[in-house]
Amino acid sequence: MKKDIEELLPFYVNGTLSKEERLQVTEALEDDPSLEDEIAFLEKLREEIQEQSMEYSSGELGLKRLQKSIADEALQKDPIALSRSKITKEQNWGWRAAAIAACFLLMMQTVVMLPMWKDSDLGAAGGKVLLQSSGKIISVTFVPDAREENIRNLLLTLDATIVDGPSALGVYKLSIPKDAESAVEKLRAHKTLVETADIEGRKAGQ
Amino acid sequence: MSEQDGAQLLKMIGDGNERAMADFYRLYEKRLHRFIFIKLNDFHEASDILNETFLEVWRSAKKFEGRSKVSTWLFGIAYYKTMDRLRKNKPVLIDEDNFPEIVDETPNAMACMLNDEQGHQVKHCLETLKDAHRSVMELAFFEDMAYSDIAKIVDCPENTVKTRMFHAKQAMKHCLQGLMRGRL
Repeated sequence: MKKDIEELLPFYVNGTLSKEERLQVTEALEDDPSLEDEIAFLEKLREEIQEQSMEYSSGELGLKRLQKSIADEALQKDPIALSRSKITKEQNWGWRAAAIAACFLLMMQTVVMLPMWKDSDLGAAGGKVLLQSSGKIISVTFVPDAREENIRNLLLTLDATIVDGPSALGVYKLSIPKDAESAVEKLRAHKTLVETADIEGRKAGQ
Repeated sequence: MSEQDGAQLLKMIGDGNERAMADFYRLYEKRLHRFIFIKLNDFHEASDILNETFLEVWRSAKKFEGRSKVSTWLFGIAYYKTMDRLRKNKPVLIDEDNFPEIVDETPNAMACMLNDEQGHQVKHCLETLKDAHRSVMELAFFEDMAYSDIAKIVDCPENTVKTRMFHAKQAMKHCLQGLMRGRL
C-alpha cells in the first residue's frame, strides 16, 4: 500500500493527479507523516530539474532546415517539379560558367585596350550631334556589371541627363547643369559603379 | 500558447499552411530539443531527430484526431525517433524495471540534501539514470505531465510509468547520497 502511495507522490508534486488520487495521498500523509520528507525531496528535485538550462535549441537555423526538408520532400513528390529543378540547377551552372568566362574576357580586353585609348575614342557612336542641353558635358563609362537602377539613382542625385551614347566603347555623355567639377568627383567616388568620368574636351586626369 | 493553440496550429498545418508550421516549431522546439538532447547527449544528433520529428508533424498533422494532447502526440513522435536512433547506436535494454530496491540510509537528510548548490549534482545524477527512467523523470518533472500522458508517449502501461518514476527517484537518491558521502 505504501509503495502504491509513494508511486503517486511524484505526480502529486507535479499537480497532475485526479481528485480521488489526491485525496488518497492526503489521507496517507495524515497516517504517515514520514511521507512529508519524501514530498519535500521530490519538490526540491523537481525544482532543480526545472532550473536546468534550456540551452538546447536549434533556433531559427533549425526552422530553416525544416523548411528546406519540407520543400525537398514536396519536390520529391512532384516529379515534374523535380525535373524542372534539376534542369534549372544545370542551367544555373551553365550561366555561371558563361558569366565567369565573359567577365574574364572583358577584363583582358580592358587591360589590352585601355592604354591604347585616345580622346577621339571617347566620342559617342551616334556622332557629335548632342541633344539640346544646358551646362557642361561629362563623358562617363560604367563598370560592366553596373545595374540600371544604381546608375539611375546616381544620375538623379547629380541632376544629370544622358544626352548621348552609349558609344561602341560604352561611353555616355551626361549633361550637368550645375558644378561639373564636383559632379565628376562624385562620379569618380562611385568606384563600384563608374569606371571613368571626365569633363568633355578636357584630358583625363586634368 | 495553450494546448488548444497547438491543436489549432496543427489543423492549419494539416491544410498545408507553412506559416502555421513555423509557429508550431517555435512553440515546441526548445522543450523538444531538450527532451531529445538529454537522451542522445549529442547536439547535432538531437538536431537531426528534432528535424525528423517536425517533418513527421508536417506529414501527419492531418491524421491527428485530438484523442490525445498535442504535446503528448508530439513528444511521443520524438521519443520513438530518439529511441530508434539509440537502438541503432547502442543496444537498449527494454526491461529496465527490475531495478534493485535501495534502502534510504538517511531519510531525513534527503529533504535538505538538495538545499545548496546542488544543481550540478542533480544534473550529474540525471545523466547516470537509465534512458527509460530518465525519460519518465524529465517528462514528469520538467514537462509536468500526468503519468497517463507519459504512458502514451513512451508507449507502455501506466503502472510501468509509475514504477519507472519510483525507481528513477530511488536511483537519484542513491546517487546524491553517494555524492554527499564523498563530500563529507
